[in-house]
Amino acid sequence: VQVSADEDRCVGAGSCVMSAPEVFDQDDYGTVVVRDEDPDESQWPAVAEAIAICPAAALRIVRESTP
Amino acid sequence: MTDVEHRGVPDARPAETPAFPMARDDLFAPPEEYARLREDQPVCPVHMSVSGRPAWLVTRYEDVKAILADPRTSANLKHRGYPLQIDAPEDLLDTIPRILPTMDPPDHTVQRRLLIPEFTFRKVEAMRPHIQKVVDEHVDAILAGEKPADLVAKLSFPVPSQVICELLGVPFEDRYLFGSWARLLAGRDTSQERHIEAEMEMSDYLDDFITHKQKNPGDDLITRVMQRNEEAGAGLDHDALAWVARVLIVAGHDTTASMMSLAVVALLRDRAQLAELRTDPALMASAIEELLRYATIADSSTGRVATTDLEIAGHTIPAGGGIIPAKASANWDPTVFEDPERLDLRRSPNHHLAFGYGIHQCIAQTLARTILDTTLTTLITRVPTLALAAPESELPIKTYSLVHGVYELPVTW
Repeated sequence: VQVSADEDRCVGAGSCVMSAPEVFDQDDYGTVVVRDEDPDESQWPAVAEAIAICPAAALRIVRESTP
Repeated sequence: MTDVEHRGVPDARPAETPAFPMARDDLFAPPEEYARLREDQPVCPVHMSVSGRPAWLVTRYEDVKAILADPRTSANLKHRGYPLQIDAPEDLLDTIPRILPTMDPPDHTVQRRLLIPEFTFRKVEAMRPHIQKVVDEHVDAILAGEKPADLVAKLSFPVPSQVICELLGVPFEDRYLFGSWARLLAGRDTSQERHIEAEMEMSDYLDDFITHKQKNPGDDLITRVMQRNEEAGAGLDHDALAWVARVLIVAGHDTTASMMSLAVVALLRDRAQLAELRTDPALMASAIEELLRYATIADSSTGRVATTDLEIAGHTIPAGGGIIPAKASANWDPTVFEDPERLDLRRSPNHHLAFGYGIHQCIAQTLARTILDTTLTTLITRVPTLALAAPESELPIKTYSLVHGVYELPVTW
């Protein structure tokens, strides 16, 4: 999967960093930063969790990776 | 009243609708009536028992979540339709500055951005060793002290209090003042006169505190917020800054403290899961999420007002109507959480709404989680024989408080 984040929607709750710290981070202002736009399959459940709990619905899967 | 304000009144006269909040008789289970409402009347007209105002009570998980994130709702408690749970005259409400939880964009966005950098995952992780030290000192004192001990007074309350006061830059010697004000403001025995007095003492103190920080910047949250305020041209004046400090102090005291006490009671109820938690520290992260869901200490604190006609579950809430998205009801909705009455420390998924949802979701949730994690881990490891020193049925419950919890928690070991 490929992951994207909408910085304008982000409210800085940090729940994505809690769920998937390998994939998401926050900058000094608390705004989401995607560390790994094409995370390894092992990270997918964590990414799905982060997308599900983001209070601002700021995270998206933009493209399913081709095998 | 203008026409729009009138439109917030439900068809039934308030006296003929159920009163809110509704009675609950368990320390954890939300009011029983919620279960019936989720089935039969997911958008139910009610009236606020204190202010008498009409409102719509929303009880299903999906609807509660949708309302909390809906940009067509306002969090402004000065709105005449807001489901007020305090008995405050409207002219007094008008004099109070807007505070973050009750602001709407774009003002909310500006102020939240001043504060977010203080509560990032990384910032809070950096605070963890210090939080551990604070917890250790309090647990040491409990173990060295008399049995039974009141865990609220000895741990749940003072730990978050010290962490938040230090973060804000409140001088060490003044920290006890906030403890005492917060206790008075949340206390069941506080007279109205004493309540107002405590409010005024705290306002005066914070007024001086901001003046002091403006002249003597330090390595603390308030100084950094002032700097960001200048840099970003956010326009917060002296009073607004004092209210920022006040909101963080009030929110940081009662909520984490209540959650901590209830978490301890829930774990002591279920010795088997407590034993698992003690032997498997990796379980603590999901345990905390489940405890947050199970207790949902702030069920109805986040009222909303419809800014336009809103369609929810087939019902129309007219513009100006007050809405109570009941988070405890959402978190015990059996269509989302299987057997919600069962505490399951391994529950997954667990997308609870205990910290709210949308732009107002708790700004300091990572800090709250870290304080809970540190305190509970330390307590169950260092005090393995911990037990209630009074029957659970005798614990003094904060029945109609905005934040659910217990006033005292006598324990022994």
